[in-house]
Amino acid sequence: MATEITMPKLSDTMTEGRLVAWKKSLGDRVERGDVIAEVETDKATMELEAFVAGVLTEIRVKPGEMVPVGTVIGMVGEGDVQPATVSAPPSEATAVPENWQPSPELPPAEPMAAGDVPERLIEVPPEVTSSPEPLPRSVDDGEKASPLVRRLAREKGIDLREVEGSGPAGRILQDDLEGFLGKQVMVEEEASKPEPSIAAAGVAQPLSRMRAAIARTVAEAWRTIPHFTVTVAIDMGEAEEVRREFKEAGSPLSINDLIVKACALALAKFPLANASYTADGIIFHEGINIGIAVSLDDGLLVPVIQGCQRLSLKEIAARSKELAERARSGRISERELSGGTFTISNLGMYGVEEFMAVIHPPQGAILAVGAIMDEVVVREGQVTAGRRMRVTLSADHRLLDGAYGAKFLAELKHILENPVTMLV
Amino acid sequence: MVITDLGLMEFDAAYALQQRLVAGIAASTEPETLLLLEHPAVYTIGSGGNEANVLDPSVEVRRINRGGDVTWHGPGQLVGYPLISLDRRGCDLHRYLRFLEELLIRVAADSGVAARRVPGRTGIWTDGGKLASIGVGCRRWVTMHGFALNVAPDLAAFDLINPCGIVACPVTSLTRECGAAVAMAEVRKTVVKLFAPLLAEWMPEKPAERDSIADVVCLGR
Repeated sequence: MATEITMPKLSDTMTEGRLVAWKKSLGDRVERGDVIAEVETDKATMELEAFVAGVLTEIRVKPGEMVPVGTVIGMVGEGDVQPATVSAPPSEATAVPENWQPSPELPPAEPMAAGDVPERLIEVPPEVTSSPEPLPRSVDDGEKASPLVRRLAREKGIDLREVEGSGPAGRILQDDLEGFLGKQVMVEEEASKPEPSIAAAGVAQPLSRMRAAIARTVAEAWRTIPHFTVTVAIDMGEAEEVRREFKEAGSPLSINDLIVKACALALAKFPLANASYTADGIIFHEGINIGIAVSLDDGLLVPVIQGCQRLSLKEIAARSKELAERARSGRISERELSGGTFTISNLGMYGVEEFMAVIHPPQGAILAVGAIMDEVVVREGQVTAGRRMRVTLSADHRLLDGAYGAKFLAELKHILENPVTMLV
Repeated sequence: MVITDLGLMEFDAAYALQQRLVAGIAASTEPETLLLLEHPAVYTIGSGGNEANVLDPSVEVRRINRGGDVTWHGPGQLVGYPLISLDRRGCDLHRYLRFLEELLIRVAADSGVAARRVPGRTGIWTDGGKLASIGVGCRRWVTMHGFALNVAPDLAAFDLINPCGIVACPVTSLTRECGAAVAMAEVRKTVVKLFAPLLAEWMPEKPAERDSIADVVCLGR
């Protein structure tokens, strides 16, 4: 079916916009993500992207023309055949452009005023959507629901075609969505039962957005970054002593905080481990922004402690605690998750001895931290009990080599074994 | 927020850098970035600009994906390319333009120059004329291009065009307004100091929902 492209509302104060240029010609094949037109408001232009494939079947607004927000500016058909005419009359006030949105944002859930941009404008583009299925593409004739219900459905990733409507003439009501969602949750719970379930075998369970995002990131990292790993054992007895002293002084801090601080000091001496590889060259980051992997039930987040080179141990401990709590409770901003230049992933609390972590692009290295274990240590010929922790650096070989990684770890080991250097 | 001082950089090189960073910011693999630089002399025109505003036919004009009409960039002019993810900050292009104006007004004030907005004529102005131009392009709600503040350029370059499509538009600079040389380095410092706090004030980041956070999430195992 044909899909309307409308003039988007790019500001609360935008009432009309100028079509600057068509980037596709009549009859052109359009793929998802293609820029099809450019529109202008005030001194800013916005590229309109296609979010479904099709053929540009109609152009209603010429370059240079100014039209009200919500005006249908063109049509895209889903077939390969270009219809000679488009018979459907334009219906701007109620138009629901299905596949053309500049925005990955959801607007506030207020009723639309006449002339407002039709709500479809705000759908999440597939590129940032983790749903393996395309979102409901169009309001088919059979799909009867109010804009609010359609938006709720999209937000919750529900395909309205799968929902039975209980309203007049099978209209889908908000209650129907909730009912459908309830059923879905039950299905998911069944699927996630630990015992091998027949239903789970061979049945794809849709990825959560977080799962899909992790999948995308690690796949890209693994495909593009030549990882290598170096492991070192560190005697943590002194560090544990420092931790005890802080605790007794009323400033609790974790072993991980000590590791963050030690990494910040070591990274300052080994800037290639705090750098990014790009085709244009190596980017050395001025700030040492250390991400801390925080595991969640359904994935993980990596909040970033910015400017670690300037922070004292106490400050790192406070910031780390705050960020981890916010990550776990879901109250964290994107800014607090971005800008990392190095990451620490600590599985020590699970008793893991050592492991390797996947680098978080565009970072150049990540440190995987194991548990502190009681070990037999031979010191100056004497067999003694020691407290050993193994850390593994995964590094981008395009940036740095094994010896550099080893020297970085030697520095880190030295700092953690002589923790007074962290107190000055 | 990363602020990078690129010094003097050719328009094409800076444009390529912007494109690369915008793609990264849209994919959440790059942080929001402000590029500060000066260009060797170049004339550019927005996508919808009218070439009739180029008065001297020998002038070569680059057509680029921003709003606005023709303008000039060159030494002595501080160019700022904020690459900002507006979808994290309310999806409002007009407000973003007003934010850029506010930033420039405050930067001018720091040099002792009282500049102001003129409704309907985006940019900032003094009695002497246009002090800074603004032109923004947006892709997936990530901004590119931005502002050009005349610190101490040779203003004769504007004589060959109708700046911003305005006939006989007077153009001025901080140096002209002050009557004394204003140092580029000082102005740049002021922009660096003001930019991030003002952006946070005018276009605060919305706390991300768990779902959208997932797009910034990383690593495994």
